[in-house]
Amino acid sequence: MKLDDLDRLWRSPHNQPSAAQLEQNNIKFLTDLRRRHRGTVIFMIWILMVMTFLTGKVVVQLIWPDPALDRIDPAREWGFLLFMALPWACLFLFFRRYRQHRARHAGFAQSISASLRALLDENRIARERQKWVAGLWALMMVLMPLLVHQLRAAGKAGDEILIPAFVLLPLLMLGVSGWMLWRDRRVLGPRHRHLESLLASYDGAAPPVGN
Amino acid sequence: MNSLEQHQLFDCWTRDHGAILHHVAHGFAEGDDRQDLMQELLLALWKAIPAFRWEAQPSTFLYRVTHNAAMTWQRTRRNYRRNVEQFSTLGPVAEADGAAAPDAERLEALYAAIRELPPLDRSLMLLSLDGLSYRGMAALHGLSEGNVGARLTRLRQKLAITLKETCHET
Repeated sequence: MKLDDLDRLWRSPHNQPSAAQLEQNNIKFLTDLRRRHRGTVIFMIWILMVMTFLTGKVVVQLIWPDPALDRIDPAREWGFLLFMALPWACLFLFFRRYRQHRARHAGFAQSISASLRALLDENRIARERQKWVAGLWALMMVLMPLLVHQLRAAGKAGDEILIPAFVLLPLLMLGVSGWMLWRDRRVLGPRHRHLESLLASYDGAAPPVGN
Repeated sequence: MNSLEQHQLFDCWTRDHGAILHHVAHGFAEGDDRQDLMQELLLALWKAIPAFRWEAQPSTFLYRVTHNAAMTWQRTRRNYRRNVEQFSTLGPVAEADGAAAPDAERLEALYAAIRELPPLDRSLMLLSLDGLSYRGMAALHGLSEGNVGARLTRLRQKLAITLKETCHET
């Protein structure tokens, strides 16, 4: 095949999608999009609801202590308050890091290479976030004996707290940590290498002035 | 931009510029993977539409979004299995008729040769075949015009050799 033939071949009807094909693609995409969107919304609402409910309960108890219930005493039960505050602090740090990323790559739409650099940074943040979550859980597990001790000393928990605190919760955290490790090795790591190699292919190509 | 406008633009662009999506999906993936990539391209386009400001041509915007998505797309075994299951029931949409079959075969050989190239070169070759200027390609990729020209000269020679070998084999 000669290169001159390429243009004709490229513009031939065989290289154009049919209307039916386009329609089919769009229908499938919109169905998938609705499913993904619903899944994300449900997940986010669920996480926020659990965190807000637990924190809200503590805050309400601190501000308007119910005489029928044992009042939370911050001096004796600070471990519990710290335990509750840690996920929020982590969430705040994630949000701040995301804003920094957005500011650093504000011009990501200028070119594909700029987008790739932004994606690589996003990938780094995702991997970093997993390390933060692992660190947060390690800290929570370190705090756990103190928390259990304080609750038992205040008479708010008995032996029934031992299994959930020292067996069930660590097992859950271990499971999720395993999943994060798998994700890092199988998804985020390969993507990181892929993006780095793509960016490397731009090396040796001087970008135009002002870009 | 509200959701209705996003829907309208999406419908309009996928209809008017469907060829861009088609070329990118075929240039970066083969077989059942094309459906997977096509869905990724549509998703990338959908997400990018709210950022469109009418300062650029829709086609330029589409090129940037779709080529970016295709270059970063990675085939996964799970996606592959899912697509085989979903699309095996649909059957082919546009079959080539007998008289035009050689063209279809040559086109497939051309796409196969393009897919042999590294992602950046693949993208440049597709853009070049779509008729984009060196300046347009340079702006799109953040390269210099000279670099695009040098790369394309080398790529065309490479492609010519590959296609010649393919034609001799068949």
